[in-house]
Amino acid sequence: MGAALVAGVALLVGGAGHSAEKSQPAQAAKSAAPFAVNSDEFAARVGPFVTAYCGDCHSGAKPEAKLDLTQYHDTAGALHDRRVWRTALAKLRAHEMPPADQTQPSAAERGAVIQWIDEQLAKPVAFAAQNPGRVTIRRLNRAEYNNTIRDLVGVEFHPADDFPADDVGYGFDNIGDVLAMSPLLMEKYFDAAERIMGEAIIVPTDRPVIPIKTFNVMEMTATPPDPSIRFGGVRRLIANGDLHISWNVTRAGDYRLSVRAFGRKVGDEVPKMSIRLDGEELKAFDVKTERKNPGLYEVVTALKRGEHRVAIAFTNPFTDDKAKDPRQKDRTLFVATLETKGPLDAKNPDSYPESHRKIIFCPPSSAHPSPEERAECAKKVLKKFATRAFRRPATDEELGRLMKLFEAANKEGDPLERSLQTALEAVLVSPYFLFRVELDPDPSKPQLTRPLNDYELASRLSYFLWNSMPDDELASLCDRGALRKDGNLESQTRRMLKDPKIQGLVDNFGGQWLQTRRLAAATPDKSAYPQFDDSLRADMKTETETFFAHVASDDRSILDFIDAEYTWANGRLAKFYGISGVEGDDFRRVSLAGAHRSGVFTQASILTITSNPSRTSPVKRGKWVLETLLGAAPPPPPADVPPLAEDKKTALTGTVRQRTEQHRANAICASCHKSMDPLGFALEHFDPIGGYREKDGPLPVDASGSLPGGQKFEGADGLRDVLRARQDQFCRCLSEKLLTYALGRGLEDYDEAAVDGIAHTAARNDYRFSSLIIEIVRSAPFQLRRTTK
Amino acid sequence: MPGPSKLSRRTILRGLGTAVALPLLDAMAPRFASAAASAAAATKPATRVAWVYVPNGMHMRDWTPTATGADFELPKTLEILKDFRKDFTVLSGLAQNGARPLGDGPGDHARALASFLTGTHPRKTGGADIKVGKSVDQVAAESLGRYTRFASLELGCEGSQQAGSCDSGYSCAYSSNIAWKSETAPVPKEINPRLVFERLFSAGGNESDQARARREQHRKSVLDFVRDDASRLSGQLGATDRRKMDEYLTSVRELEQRITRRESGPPPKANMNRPDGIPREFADHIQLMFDLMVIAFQTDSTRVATFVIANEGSNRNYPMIGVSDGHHETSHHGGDKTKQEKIAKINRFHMEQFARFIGKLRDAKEGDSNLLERSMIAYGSCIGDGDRHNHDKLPVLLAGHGAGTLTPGRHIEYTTETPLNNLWLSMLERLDIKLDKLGDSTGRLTNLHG
Repeated sequence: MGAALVAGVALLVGGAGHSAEKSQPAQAAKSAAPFAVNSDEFAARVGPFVTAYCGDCHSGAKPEAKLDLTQYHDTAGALHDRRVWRTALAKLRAHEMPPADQTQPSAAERGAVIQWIDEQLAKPVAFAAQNPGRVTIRRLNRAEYNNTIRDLVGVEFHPADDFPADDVGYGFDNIGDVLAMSPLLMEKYFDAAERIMGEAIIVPTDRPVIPIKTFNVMEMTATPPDPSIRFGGVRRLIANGDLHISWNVTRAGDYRLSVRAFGRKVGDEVPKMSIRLDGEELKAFDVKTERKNPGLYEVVTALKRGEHRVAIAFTNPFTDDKAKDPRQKDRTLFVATLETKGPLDAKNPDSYPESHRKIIFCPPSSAHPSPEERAECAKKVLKKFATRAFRRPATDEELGRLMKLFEAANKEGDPLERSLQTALEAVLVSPYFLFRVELDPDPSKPQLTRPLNDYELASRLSYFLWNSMPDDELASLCDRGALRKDGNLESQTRRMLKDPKIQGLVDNFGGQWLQTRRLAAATPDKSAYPQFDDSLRADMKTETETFFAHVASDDRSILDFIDAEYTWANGRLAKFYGISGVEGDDFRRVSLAGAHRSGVFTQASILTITSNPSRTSPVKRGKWVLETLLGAAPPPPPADVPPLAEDKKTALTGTVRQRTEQHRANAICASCHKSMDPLGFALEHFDPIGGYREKDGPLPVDASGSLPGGQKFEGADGLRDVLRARQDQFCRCLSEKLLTYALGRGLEDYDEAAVDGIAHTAARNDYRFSSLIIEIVRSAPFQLRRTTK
Repeated sequence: MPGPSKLSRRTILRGLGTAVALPLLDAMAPRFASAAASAAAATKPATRVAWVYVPNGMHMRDWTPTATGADFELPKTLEILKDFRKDFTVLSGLAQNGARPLGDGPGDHARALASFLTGTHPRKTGGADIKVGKSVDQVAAESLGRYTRFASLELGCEGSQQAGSCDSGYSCAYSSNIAWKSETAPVPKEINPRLVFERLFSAGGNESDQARARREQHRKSVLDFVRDDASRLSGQLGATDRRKMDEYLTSVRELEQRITRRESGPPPKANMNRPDGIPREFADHIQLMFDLMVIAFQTDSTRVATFVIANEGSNRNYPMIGVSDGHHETSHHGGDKTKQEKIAKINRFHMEQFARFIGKLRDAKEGDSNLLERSMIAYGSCIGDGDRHNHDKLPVLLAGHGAGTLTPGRHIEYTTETPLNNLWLSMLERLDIKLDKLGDSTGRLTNLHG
């Protein structure tokens, strides 16, 4: 206490229009007396507290954390900077402020200020009083592109997988400002448009090319998993089982399936092979051919459109235990290639894919239509396609230009489909398709606010929830101007949450919020953690995705993320978790009772991505909890961290925990690590791939922690309780992340009111997932748009 | 992520072995160039230029030679290049000031990659208003791109991080992009060798000339159409959105130019097998990307390339050389000898990959010369010691002879704080690109030649 505080008092009081003696002793400022005359609640209830406990550091020309708390004099002024007071609230609650070595307020004083700030932030701010901000025009990212093409054209081949990765900003890869356009990407868009149209539309010709599809046998799944060993580009089967793969047939018709295979005869018989479709045998073969001259085994069958399962089964395994040469022990079937050719009758329009009939929906009646008839059909096709692709009605002017492209390509005698191809491709590379366009009311006049039109709003909604374009139902509401009428927006939102396309939110929001996307790049040390293979990696990802999908589509409480005593697992993952009674590859809901786990932070996916390859990192785990669940990312470490004085003995014999604790011996480090590390220590019972352990090396795990303010807790259960006690902070954090993702921009100070509104309404609705989503959809930044320079 | 595929290293090398006998560049150049340019090309062989980046700094004790001049002992990491002693110069003492905090606090990894070729201090932002500077490779590409089918090639082995924050409040655009077309537009890198191959040598390699001509004619009319769309749209947008449309229009223009250039003939035949995808082994992945670079240079598909072996701050581990801990975590060695040795091992692993690359360049004959003689390949990191995050005394070397404009085989020590961009400016000069300043450059390095 000293000069700084006195100066602070002067500043505060002077600014508030009161007179105060500069020499007034600091202690006296604790009394609320000088402010009693002021009717403003902030000045009366918070001002004196700030003066007494905060102003010492947070005032003057160079305040701590660049934050001068003494500049606020009344409620309106304070609420203008909601983020400041929300941070203050969190710090007071967590007993991080005032720092332990400073004068502490009494529990009652602290409680009163916490309550007041909390109440103020909970008061809703009028819609019209909010600044909705401005979203930069957003290019479709890779996932959005794939999903949009799926819904627009009906082809499933994920053209955007070959596009360069989209960069991430604010934790998500759908941020308008970050989504750049490059010549490379432009070239990919052109390639993709050509491929998509080539696949979606069949150009009838006299000598149609019959499509050939080659499957990569190396990627086929083996059942049972063990016997098939891959080597030299050939799959090898020695046990009763099969190799299978899923095949999406887009055109109905007759197909020829060809398998190139050879066998090793052991015992009396050569290997028997069966080609199966959807579980039914199409044909069985005796594989007499040998390695030096593999045979081609073929069968023709009629196929309907849709998913099919093709299997190559080995049906007569035999082991000769007496064989001296180990290579001559097992009767073996070797599979080299699998190829399909079809539809064999490619000229038959019945074989055309659904996508073809959807786009070319008005084929001319005769084989030689008049030029007028052709043009009329072309116009209809282009109008419908462009309208769906642009997610708003195509204008006459646009249609006119598209027709010019058609006419330039239109040659007599050419099939209509060919003449249309160029124009259809042009739609797929137009900025109106590749970008989600929202026009500013008047670019020359900043600060104009307008509600989005129905089409723009429908796009925001569907890309938010489905990661894809609006469907026909949304589009027809827009056509009637009824999206915002009769509670349609809410009922549509609820409908969309139940739709399978909600997987778009699960994969893209969920995978990035929880950061499970990083699992693909995780490289645990194989020698120390041999259980970690690609199957377990995939299971971990599926667990978290399924969990998220369940919360979203079953409209669970979002608090399940922090305390659910259930998860989703298949046999392999359950075994890894030590849960018995779960068999097979399918995921199902399992109870976590007695498994030392609850909440998403005990899922192996998250425990793995927050570890180093060969050891856990309580720091990374603590940071993940703060950043992902509490929205309180610690500031990054200062640039010049003095190196740890490594005591060789400690380093060699200590647990990760002991080594980590050395960081906190340094005061600079301790200021942040004391709130971060304990959260991570609580998870020390989980090794770097999320397996449960009692020991770290030879030493027993110590999973206890205490937070600033003295709260003690132990293990994952203790962490769960800590998070439960901060459930509103979690709810707010999730609101922030969802809003960021929904808007495609970073949140600014002026978004605070909207986020507070969303979080508080969700809290009043039992934290239902749907209430969070609906409040976001209703919020000012989601519904309005403002021009800025 | 596309599934890793198995790929025998021998297959690739066999492919390249035959590629050595490719048609000579000299015979191909005029196809793309204007008459005047090809006349110039006839008198002066084309110089290729590339930048290869490795993250998290270097174990400097194994990098910096003790003596300067031509007669110096190769430290352990550089020892790997002993067969190329006379083909590279170690440049000590260079600094990249833009990578420093300059008041912005932590985030050295993001800043390091973003500033390496730009010599600019990136604006600290999680997304809005991304801004750094135009990178030297893109300056080169703008000029040399006239002669080739592709202005430049951007390669890497790691995609942009897919979630979370990349480095202390910096957008991932900074820590994963080395090439910047303008101060706001990063050029994404390609990490899948199959896609690079298909792009360079055309996926529909077997389509007839006639079919290709028709397809490109279609493309041109579509480009006209979308240019129209974008221009109309641009007029109705605010400033930030308009910038996005500018990026779009620039891309349209580049594609048009590329088609025009391509019209003079089909893409060259590649004497290399088409890669299946991303190999499972990291070394195979790196080699494949290097092979693609060699073959792109050899076929004169481009003269400018960048290759980010791993993103800045990468925490990948290297179990194949016995380093099971993450690269980044280990780079914060705190003076620990064991950790420093691990870093040195990783440095040597990268250097071995690089050595094989320049070996292939040397084996690639061109006229009476070879590609290494006609190249300038910078290799290095924008962090000195990974533990300190210093951005001065950077580990940088320049391989190749720059078609006679460089005198390699030396260790040159520059005064502390000499901007790294002075080196870039000097390289541009050797490509006949006259520029007074690039980023924070203060001049050119004087003694690279002679």
